[in-house]
Amino acid sequence: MPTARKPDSDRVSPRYQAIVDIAPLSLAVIPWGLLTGSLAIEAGLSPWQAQCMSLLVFAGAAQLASLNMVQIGSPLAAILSTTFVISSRHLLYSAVYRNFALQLKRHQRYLLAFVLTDEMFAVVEEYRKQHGRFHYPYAVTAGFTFWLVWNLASLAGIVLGQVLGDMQAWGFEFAVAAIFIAMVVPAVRSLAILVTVTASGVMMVIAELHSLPNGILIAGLVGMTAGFTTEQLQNLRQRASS
Amino acid sequence: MMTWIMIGLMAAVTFYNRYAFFSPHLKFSIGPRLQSLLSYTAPAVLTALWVPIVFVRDAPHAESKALNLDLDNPYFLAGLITVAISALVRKPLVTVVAGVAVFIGLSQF
Repeated sequence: MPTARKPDSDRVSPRYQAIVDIAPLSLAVIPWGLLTGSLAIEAGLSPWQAQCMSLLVFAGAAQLASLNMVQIGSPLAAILSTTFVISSRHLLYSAVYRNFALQLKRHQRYLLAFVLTDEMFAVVEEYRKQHGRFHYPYAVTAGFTFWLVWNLASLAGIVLGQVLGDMQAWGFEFAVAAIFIAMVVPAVRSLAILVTVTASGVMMVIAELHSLPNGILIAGLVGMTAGFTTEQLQNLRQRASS
Repeated sequence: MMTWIMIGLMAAVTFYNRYAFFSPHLKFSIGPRLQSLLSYTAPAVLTALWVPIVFVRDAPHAESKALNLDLDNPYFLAGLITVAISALVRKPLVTVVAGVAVFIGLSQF
């Protein structure tokens, strides 16, 4: 017999649960991987370079933006600053997991950071909400599953080239919105979170209409501050009335 | 060669943004107040990712973007319906499948 059975063990292992949870988000990213792969070839990258970009950079929005910039002959510095701006929201995810990451070994911290995408963050936060703890194998399994799908989709795009017609017609762009709606709306369980979501949404619309480059990061910070302030005010009121 | 340098530097930039706060050399600790502020990260940032798709009309290279509050626009109407579905069923997979189906249906008209 192997080790004693854990009392009250989970029905499914966290690793398996991670793959199940990230699966719909992985499916939704496939068209974007195809697009990124074919755009890389169109922009003049060799197939191996195109694949390495998805393997190493692993950031859909930043890759698409940079490939568009390569096509119009933008300088390297501009491409890199755009990459920084687009991926700056990950600084917040990194801050959220700081206390967990500090308890990990160095190579584990590197692995966790490497796969810290929007989609991975979304499912890990959901898991954390349900189970009340951060689970490293869950996070890394979800992250690398998503990485694998992203790279296979990129490969298909590199090999097949322009297979996609109109992205809009098939609802690919809307699928991204639907995924994040599906992750956010059930999380609105308090006034503070409702205020967070509203403030972030309004700020993001303003940022988009004025073409602010750092919109997502700014809207995120505004939403977080609004939610936190609401919470503090509620606490003050509670203390005053008790 | 330039392309390889670009790929390498882009990888460094995205990794830096993801690793920045994991570094033990960074001398700062997250107290209860900051922890509480950070607990709002997921709803705040993930909202900022979907709101433009639903509420802002944008062609990729359009010069001017406009507020999209037109019920004839499938992004807006399907977005509202998807929010309603999500609030009712609270199951991510069901929400996504139903939402995309609604969007494709509305796009046919």
